[in-house]
Amino acid sequence: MDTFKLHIVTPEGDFFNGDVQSLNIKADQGYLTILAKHMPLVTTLEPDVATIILADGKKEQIAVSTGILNVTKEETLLIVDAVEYKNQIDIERAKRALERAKRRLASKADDIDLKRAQVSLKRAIARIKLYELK
Amino acid sequence: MSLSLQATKRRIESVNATQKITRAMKLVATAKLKVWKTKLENSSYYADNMKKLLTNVFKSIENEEELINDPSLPTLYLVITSSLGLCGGYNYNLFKRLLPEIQKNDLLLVIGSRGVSFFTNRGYQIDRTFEDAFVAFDYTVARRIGNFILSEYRLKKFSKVKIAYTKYKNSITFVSEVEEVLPLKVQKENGISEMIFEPNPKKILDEILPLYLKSVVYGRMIESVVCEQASRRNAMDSATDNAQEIVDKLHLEYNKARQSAITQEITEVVSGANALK
Repeated sequence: MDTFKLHIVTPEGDFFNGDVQSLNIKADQGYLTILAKHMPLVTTLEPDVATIILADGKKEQIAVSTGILNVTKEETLLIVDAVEYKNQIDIERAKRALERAKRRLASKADDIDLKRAQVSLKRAIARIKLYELK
Repeated sequence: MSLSLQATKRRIESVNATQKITRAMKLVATAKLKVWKTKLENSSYYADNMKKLLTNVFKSIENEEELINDPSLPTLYLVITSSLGLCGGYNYNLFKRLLPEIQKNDLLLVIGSRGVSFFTNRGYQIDRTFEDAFVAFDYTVARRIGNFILSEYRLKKFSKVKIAYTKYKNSITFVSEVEEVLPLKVQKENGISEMIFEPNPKKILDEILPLYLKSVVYGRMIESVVCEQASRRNAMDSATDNAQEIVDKLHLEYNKARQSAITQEITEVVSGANALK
């Protein structure tokens, strides 16, 4: 199968840089699967679990936070503010964040706080989802 | 005479002790500098790509008016200072650069307790402080600050956001800078990019802008800490050198005093013996 270059960048540095067969990720409009020779695309991401099929056919799953997906001819660039493998997840922290976000959503703060709470809720859910995946 | 000998000896000891401390602080600063420099390198790739992407998206947007607030509104300054002292002119240089710019009704966000006490002592109104931002610093701190700035910006409390930080040129040159980050200034080019924007450029810009702002805040904060540590290392380096100079001088003084005490004693003994003849 054809492969393409996937590059995942976070503010803390490179997270992943290598050849992959496919990338399945949740974008603004729903799940997307990127294969080799995809058309140039820019889209925003929703926090969720993403699946990468590596060049050797192995499957990797990661928890992705908010960010941007940028597909160009040269490479597929994933610019995200946080991303983790399963073994990197701090489950206690994720659970605390989940509770905090739920509380905030219940308390009906003003409009912008609401949006931020929704994002952190999604982020926490994505982490817990990956952690509980077999 | 022996009294002054004792005093000089004590002074040498105390300067030696001070030198030990400054040398240790220099070593600590050097180690920290290395850590933060790595962080700076790691974050720059993210920030560069974000900027590139933002420029691309921005080009595809025709109507960016709603992103610009009324220019008569005040400016928000995000001032990045240190929480610890003994770092040479690091904070002072930034204040010197910044003060002539600040207008009466401008808003101030201050990172670091040095900045907080500086502005409070001079009677400035600080709108929000992040004194302990560098205690457990990671991207979430920058995210919190970025979110705060953006929500206030959307409430139209100010028209411009400027970050006052220290730019790292090399390990001995730091430049205090005041950088305008909002509103965005991107060179418009003609020509249509062959990109699909899902769902549309406007929505993407709305998403990228916060990410971009946060990456800039994060990057500038790290850069400032790199400067702080480098500045502290330099300050402690010259303090150690100065201490050495003082020790050398005191040693000379001590030896002179000791020699003249001995000479005097001999003279006394000899003249005493002569008197007995």
